[in-house]
Amino acid sequence: MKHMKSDHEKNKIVLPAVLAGCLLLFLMAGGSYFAKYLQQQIFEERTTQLNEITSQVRENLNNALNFQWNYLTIAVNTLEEREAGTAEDMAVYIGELEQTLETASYHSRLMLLDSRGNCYDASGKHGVWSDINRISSGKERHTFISDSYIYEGSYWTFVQELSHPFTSQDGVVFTHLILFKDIYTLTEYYDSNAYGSMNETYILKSNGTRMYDAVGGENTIQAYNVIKVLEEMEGQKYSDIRKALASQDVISANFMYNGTEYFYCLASLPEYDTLVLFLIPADYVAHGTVRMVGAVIEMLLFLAVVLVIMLIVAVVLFTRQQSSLQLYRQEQENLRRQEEMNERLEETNAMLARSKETAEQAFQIAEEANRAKSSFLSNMSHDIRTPMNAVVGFAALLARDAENPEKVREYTRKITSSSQHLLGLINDILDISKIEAGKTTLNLSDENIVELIENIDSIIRPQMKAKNHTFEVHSKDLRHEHVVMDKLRLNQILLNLLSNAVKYTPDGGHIKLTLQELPQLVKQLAHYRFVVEDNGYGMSKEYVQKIFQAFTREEDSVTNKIQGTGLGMAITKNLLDLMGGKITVESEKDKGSVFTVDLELAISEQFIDRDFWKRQGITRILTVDDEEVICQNIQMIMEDAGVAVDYTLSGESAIEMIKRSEEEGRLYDVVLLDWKMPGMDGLETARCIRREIPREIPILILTGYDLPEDETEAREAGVDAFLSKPFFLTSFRLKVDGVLHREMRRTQTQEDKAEQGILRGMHILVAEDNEINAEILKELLDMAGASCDIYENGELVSAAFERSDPGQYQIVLMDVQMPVMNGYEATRRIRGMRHPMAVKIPIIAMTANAFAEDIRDALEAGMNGHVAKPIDMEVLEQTVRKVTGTQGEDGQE
Amino acid sequence: MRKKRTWFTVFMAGVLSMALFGGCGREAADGEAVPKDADSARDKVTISLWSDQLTEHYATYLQERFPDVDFTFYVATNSTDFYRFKEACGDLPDILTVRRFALSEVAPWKDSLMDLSDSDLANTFHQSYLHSYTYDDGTVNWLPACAEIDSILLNKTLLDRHNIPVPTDYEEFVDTCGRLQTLGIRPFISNFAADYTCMEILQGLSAAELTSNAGRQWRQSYESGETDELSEEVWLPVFERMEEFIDYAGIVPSDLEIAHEEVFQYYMDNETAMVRGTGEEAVRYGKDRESVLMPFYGDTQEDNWYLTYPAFQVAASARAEEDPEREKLIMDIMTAMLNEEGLRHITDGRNIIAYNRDVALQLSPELGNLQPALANNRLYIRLASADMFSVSQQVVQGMINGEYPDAHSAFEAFNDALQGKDGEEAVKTAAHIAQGYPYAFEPEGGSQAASAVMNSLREAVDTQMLVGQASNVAGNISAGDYTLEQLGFLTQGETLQILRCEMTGEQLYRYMDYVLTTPGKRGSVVNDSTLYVSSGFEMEVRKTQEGYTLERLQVAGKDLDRKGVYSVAVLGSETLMQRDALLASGVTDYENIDGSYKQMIVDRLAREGKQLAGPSDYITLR
Repeated sequence: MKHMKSDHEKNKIVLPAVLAGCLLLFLMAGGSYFAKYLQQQIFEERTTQLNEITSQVRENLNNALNFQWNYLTIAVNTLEEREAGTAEDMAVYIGELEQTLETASYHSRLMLLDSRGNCYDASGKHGVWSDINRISSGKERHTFISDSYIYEGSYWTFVQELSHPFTSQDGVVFTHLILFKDIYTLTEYYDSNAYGSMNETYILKSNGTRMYDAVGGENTIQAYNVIKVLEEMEGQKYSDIRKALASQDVISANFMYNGTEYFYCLASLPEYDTLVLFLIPADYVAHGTVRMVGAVIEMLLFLAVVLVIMLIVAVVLFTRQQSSLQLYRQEQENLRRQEEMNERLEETNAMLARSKETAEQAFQIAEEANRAKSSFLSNMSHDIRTPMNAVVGFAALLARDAENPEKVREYTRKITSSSQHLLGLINDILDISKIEAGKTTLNLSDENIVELIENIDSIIRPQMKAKNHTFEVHSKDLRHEHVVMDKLRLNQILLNLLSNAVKYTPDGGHIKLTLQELPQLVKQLAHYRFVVEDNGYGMSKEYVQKIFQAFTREEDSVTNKIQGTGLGMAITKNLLDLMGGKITVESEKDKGSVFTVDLELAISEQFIDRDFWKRQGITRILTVDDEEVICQNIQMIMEDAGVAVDYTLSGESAIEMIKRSEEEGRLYDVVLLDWKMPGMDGLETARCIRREIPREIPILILTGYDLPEDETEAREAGVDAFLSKPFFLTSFRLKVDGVLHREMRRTQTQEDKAEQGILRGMHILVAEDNEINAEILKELLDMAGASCDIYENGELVSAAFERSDPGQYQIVLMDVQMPVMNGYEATRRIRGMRHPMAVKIPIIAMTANAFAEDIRDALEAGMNGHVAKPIDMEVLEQTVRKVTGTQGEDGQE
Repeated sequence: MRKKRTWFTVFMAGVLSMALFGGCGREAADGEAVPKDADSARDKVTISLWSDQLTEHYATYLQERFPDVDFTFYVATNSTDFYRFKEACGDLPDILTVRRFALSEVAPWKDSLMDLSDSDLANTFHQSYLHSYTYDDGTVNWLPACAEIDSILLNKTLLDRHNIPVPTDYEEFVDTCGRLQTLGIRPFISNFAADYTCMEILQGLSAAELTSNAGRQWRQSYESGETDELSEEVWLPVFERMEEFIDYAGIVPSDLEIAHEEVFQYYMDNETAMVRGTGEEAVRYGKDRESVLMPFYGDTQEDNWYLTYPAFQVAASARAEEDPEREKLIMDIMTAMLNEEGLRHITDGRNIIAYNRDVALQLSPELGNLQPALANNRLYIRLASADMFSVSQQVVQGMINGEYPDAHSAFEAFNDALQGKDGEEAVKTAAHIAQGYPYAFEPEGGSQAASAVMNSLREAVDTQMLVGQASNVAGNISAGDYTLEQLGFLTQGETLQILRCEMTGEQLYRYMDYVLTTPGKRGSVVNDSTLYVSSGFEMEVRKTQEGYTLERLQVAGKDLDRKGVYSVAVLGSETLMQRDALLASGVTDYENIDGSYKQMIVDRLAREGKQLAGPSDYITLR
């Protein structure tokens, strides 16, 4: 396996390596070819340049030599025209001739030669000319360079044999005229400045030897025979330069000498038996071109190197791709984690900082809380002991006055009152404890907010009535009634607020509940505002600051007399926080308080019946109320539902409008009348309509007052139904639906009264392990007209149910916490039995665990409802009514 | 042990003999062809000396200058023909020196010589001189050492004694000769037996004529090979002047017998007022009298010319070019030979004129008269082809002997001789040498070639013993056919004396001790190759830091009887070495044997038809 892996790794390396090698070879071969090509081009450029320059030099030198010859010819002609004097005279004449020809300005000299080889110049006779042997070949003309012993330095020497030798008067025979030209004055003709004096120019005889002795110490070639030295140079391509020169006008080549490359160019002046050699280090030939090419090569080399490096890097990266990538990812992951940890650490640090910053506040709060708890406990001690004292005391009195029925009823009523208070106190304590422990969850369900308000109204109104408070319920801009909510909790919140308003408002006060739907912030959420307003005692500003803290109560002489746990507002605040709502309070001492709750609830699509009005053929209604705001509110709500609303502020005008509509054929499908109106009230208007209008138009009375206990008068007046203010669309729709079915509903109060006897005649199976509670329950059920069989645990209960005949029990009340088998398990067992009623029989939980999750657990176990201990018979009856489906037509939607 | 060494030597000699058996033109002598000894890291370089005068200082200088080089010196015949012969034999020495030189004569075998034109050495010469050594193709094989002045050495003391002024031109020179004759004093004596004397006096006396326009043009034609005929315009006056000179200078046929040393003996003895002499000789013989070197007189003082010629020319075998290191060594040695320090060792360094630039040599007072001629460039360079030497000797001697009725006849004879020089005699085989001998010196036995020649010479002079310097034998002796001229090339070309005497064994010891240890003379030992050769006895010599020490002499393996008397011949320069050596050994009575050393060897081989005597192991060098 390892071997296979190794082969695999090799294969991963070999292919890129081969490719890289091929590319490298290609680059090297290409580079080599390109370099050779460039070198060849440079060489040709250099030799061409040298050839041009050398040819020019040769031409210059040739012209210069020709010029000297012309110059000498003139001198010879002049001399031959002269009549010969003595030899001494001839010397003088040479001087005159030099002046005539301005030889000095040309750095030239003239010299006569006699037949003995003696020479004569302007200064007189000299000895035998040192180069006499060089003109003995019999030629008429000789050109060479001479190191004259007469004149210092080297001279181009032009010797012309006189065609007519002449004899001086003293017998000296003059045979030659010689022109000396200082060699350095001719240098300019062959010393090119093209290379910044870096070149060397050699004037050679045709056999390659030097023309003259002067060899600069810095001259590259010091030897006598320069051509031979050239031929022996390393890299020299001409083994026989003179032979090559015979076939070419100019030759150029390069060679190496002492590690330096040189270029030379050689041109011939055959007329003068002379060669011109131009020698220069290669670095100075076509310098610009070479530099440019060098730069190009360097750049290409650099690119090639970069390419190769990139290739190598690519190969390396490729071969290490997997591990590197993994490593890279690992590193990235580590980095990310590290960053996260850093962020967390920073957050933690920030939290710690905040914690540290708030620690003292928390500590102070805690201390305050402790103080509050201590105070609370003290209060609780008082608050609990007070009702308990009443219970115990009245129980003792009950025993004493058992024979006196009046006393017994009075004591029993007071014991009941104290017990209810004590129960509320305990429930609040449990609620706040659970909320603070974070164990509270919302039990959401689709509900009707109108029903919620109506339910609250029904609960709180009796308390209002008991304290002679005026209680108004208003609704504004309500467009969504069906929403998702925890009905129980929201109910609790509003009841808390209203209960406080009742409690902390002196008798005869005014309390108002307003429900307003605010513009939506989010499309799916309806935005509600609940306002509870009273004109009660109000609160100090200091207390307002901490009203939502637990275990706080305004301590003053008035409120201390009022029963309260100090937990209600804390519970309210915590529940609203849980729901994402907020609560604000405005209060002024002795003026009253205003609690405002803003809450967004998800709109339920389940219960919207948008087609109701269209389906019932209701397109137009008439609203009659002396308060125009109410009319406009109704108009807005109904037009949203697709129903046109005309309104008027009096009964008289209403009758006129109906008549007119009947005449015009624009029929009102429903007429909604306010009960109490100045002038013609609702009933009167209804009578008039029935009297004047033959068509049976449904007429509903809208009232903000308690519904009349006796509806007979209203029915006789032609009213089809009553509708409580505020106006809620759902309520209106239900009433209209009922009216259209020609079935007048009983009032709510009547319904409740009728339903209170639902337990009567029932035989109930009960599970209760506590003997006292079992006895109390048995008595309460007995009072309600029901009988029961009580078992002390779930197992016994389930066994009893299994033994029972179908219909023997109509309902099961199941305690939850029991020995042997708890209520949940017993319920699941019953539901799993083959008993014909196993599935159908309603099972209601009875538990001290009164929280939402307890209710959810009960429902999940197969129970149908839940009541909290201690048992409130009214609650029990409502729950039974609900689970048995005997709630009446109002619940159908 | 000794026997073994002897057999080894014989074996080696046999091997070399086999190599040389093929003779000239067929087999080169190993000694020249192998530059390095196989057993030694020391370089071996053979230099042929144009004259034994170079053994006085020059060879010693080179040996000291290159202590790591084993030089083999020998004295050659002063002729480029000698080297042409050696070249044909494939036996050219590494470095060649020759005084008699004409570029046209060495051109045919120029490729066997190293081309010096690309050397820095060549470029140290004035080009006006170098021009004469440059072929048309730019090749330069030969470089001149320095100019030797050769002219008329005048005993001014003698003239002053007779109130005769020093002549300033030709007319005064003639007058002076006349006045001297009247005083019974020979105006001029020279060794007319020598070819160079005949030639130099012939040309020197007419230097002005020969340097005229016509003279130069003829010479250029002659030297370039365009003509081998004398120009009458130029040369007839030359012979006319020679004829006059013979007359007024009192040259007589007996002068043809006078040897070089005798000439200066006459001069020192005031028997002659003037001799032909060199700058070096002016100094040497001017110690006891005021001697001045006068020019060859022309019609006017402006026509007075000194005759000059290079002291010698130097060349190198092209063989050295095969090995760059070897080539560099040879170039270094040649540079040392021709630089200022080398030139100072040619004579005393003052009486010569350098051809190279950057060499400043001062003339000695004896050469004071030379300055005007130098200033006016009146230095006539002799026309020194081999033909000129031999024909001049022939014609001038003929003129002295009165063989020609007039100058014109002499002129024609000269012309005839020039054109008929290379006759049948010149190419005819005169002898065949069956056995070749190497010249290289071996510590056990010495030089076989030298021993063979010395043994032959001892037989010729018929003495019990003979002593001569090895370098008097001109290198390897190849087997083969020889012409008469080539036979002469076997020995050195100088005129050496053979002195015969009787000496005791003890005197022989002293003599050998003297010649082995005395430096600075003509014949001094420079190194192994110039050690003396004994014939008729054997030597044991020890080599030390200081030189050579004689340890023992033996005859046929037995110690020499110090008291015994033996007839002994010594070969060498009587005046410059041998006389002193004999005197030092207590020998005062000796005779100068007639006949030349060279001729005796030639005669043995050519006329007597003998082979060279076999060599003997004459020396053991420790």
